[in-house]
Amino acid sequence: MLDQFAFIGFFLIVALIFGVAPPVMAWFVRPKGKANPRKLETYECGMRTHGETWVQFKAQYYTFAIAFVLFDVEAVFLLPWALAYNALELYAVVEAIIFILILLGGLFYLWRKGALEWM
Amino acid sequence: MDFLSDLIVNIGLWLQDLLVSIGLPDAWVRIITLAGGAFILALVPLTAMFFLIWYERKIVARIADRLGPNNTGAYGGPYGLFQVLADAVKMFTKEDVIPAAADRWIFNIAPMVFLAIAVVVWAVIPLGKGIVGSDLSIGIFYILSFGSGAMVAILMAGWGSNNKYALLGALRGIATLISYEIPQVLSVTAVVMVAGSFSLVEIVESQNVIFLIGMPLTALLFLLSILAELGRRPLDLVEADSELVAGYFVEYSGMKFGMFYLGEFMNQLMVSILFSTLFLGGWRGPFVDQVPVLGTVWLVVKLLLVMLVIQFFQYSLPRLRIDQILALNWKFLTPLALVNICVIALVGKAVPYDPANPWVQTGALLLANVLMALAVVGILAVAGRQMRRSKLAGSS
Repeated sequence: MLDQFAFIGFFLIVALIFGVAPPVMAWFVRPKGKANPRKLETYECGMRTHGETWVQFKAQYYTFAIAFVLFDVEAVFLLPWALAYNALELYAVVEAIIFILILLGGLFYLWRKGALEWM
Repeated sequence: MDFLSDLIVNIGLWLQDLLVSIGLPDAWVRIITLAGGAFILALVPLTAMFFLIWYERKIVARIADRLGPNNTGAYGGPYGLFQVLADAVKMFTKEDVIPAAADRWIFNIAPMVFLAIAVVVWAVIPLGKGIVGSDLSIGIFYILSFGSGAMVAILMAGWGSNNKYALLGALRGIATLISYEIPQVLSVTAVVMVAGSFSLVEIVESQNVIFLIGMPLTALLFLLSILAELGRRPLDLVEADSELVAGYFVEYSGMKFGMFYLGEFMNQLMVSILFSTLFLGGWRGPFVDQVPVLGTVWLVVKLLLVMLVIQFFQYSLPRLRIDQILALNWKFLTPLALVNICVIALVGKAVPYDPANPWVQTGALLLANVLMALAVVGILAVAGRQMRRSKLAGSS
């Protein structure tokens, strides 16, 4: 067990190295151009930028994120049940199905209330 | 012959004996084996990329009735195999323009995180019989958790660029990605139910009959959700590269862009291998018991097949709008995934797994899946008819 997680630890370190290596290698090879202000401007299809860049974004992102959190928590509860599924009796299965049906009811509530519309 | 038949495992054992015979203490041998194994395993996706990007470009070209990379041009190589290497070298030598208004730390770190996350999930996938980086008992859960790390990188790229198009593209991308996490996790839950374990090694070994035959609807759910996770057409509003100019990585140039590009392909490879492992039986295939190294060959064949299917989806279907993408997820895939779990749970208890005759449970699951698919088609037909009727009534 320790070996397994030690491998994961080494793998994370190696993955970090592989993440950091390409820009470092490229730093040696690429041209270090002189920066002029035109080149460093923010891209807006060739025009001057108009207004603030860190724009206000819509509230629908929030409702989708909340819906995601709900169903992700449900999925987290379902995963250990799925793992123990083979050893469970029928009543545990029915209980989990009732849990899923309650959450399906929640999804239909969200649907009817319009929380899943984009606009 | 015996050495050749289990080639990769035997090479590993031989190296380990070599280390022991030098006289190192046992703890050092373990550390060197683990660290060396991690390094070599991390190199596998990076080197496989060179072949697989070529493979994808050839398929895409043939779908579009043109040739793709071939040996005309100075750097093509035979059949255009070195084209990818030439592109990589080109990206190294491009100048790295960091816009003056960008948030430097976040801007620089985002591609590194993206690439690191794409590499990190390879530790737990069984690449052959007995060849696995680390047989974690929480294998698939590890992959699901780390696989979501790409969203952090996308958000960092979009926010750090200080560019409203990048930010909007990144936010839409996040909305798509988090929405499609749900059917992905739920279809994996169904697989875990039938297989009985999170560990990918055990999922592969429990597939006496591959899960694609038993649970085609679950496989389809998983395929659709990973198509969105990858940001691949038809669900690719994240980086619609003929509409928004490259979405969240519009301000990146040079190797940083190359890292996003490479990271996307590695994600594609990752999900193809994940699909092959979960639903197509991983390294299982004929003659694997006698010649275990064939397991890796079968895995590569299945991987190429899945990538072919993903390319077909990608290059023959038009793009969906963001509200269509989210409606597809929340109004179709999520309820279907939840109902799928319920039905498979009931069927699995009604028809228990019989090791002597695994086709019994597979047949029952297949029947349940087909009935669910027919029910879904029926519901969609009724809803479509109602919508058409209301549209006709409204317009007349």
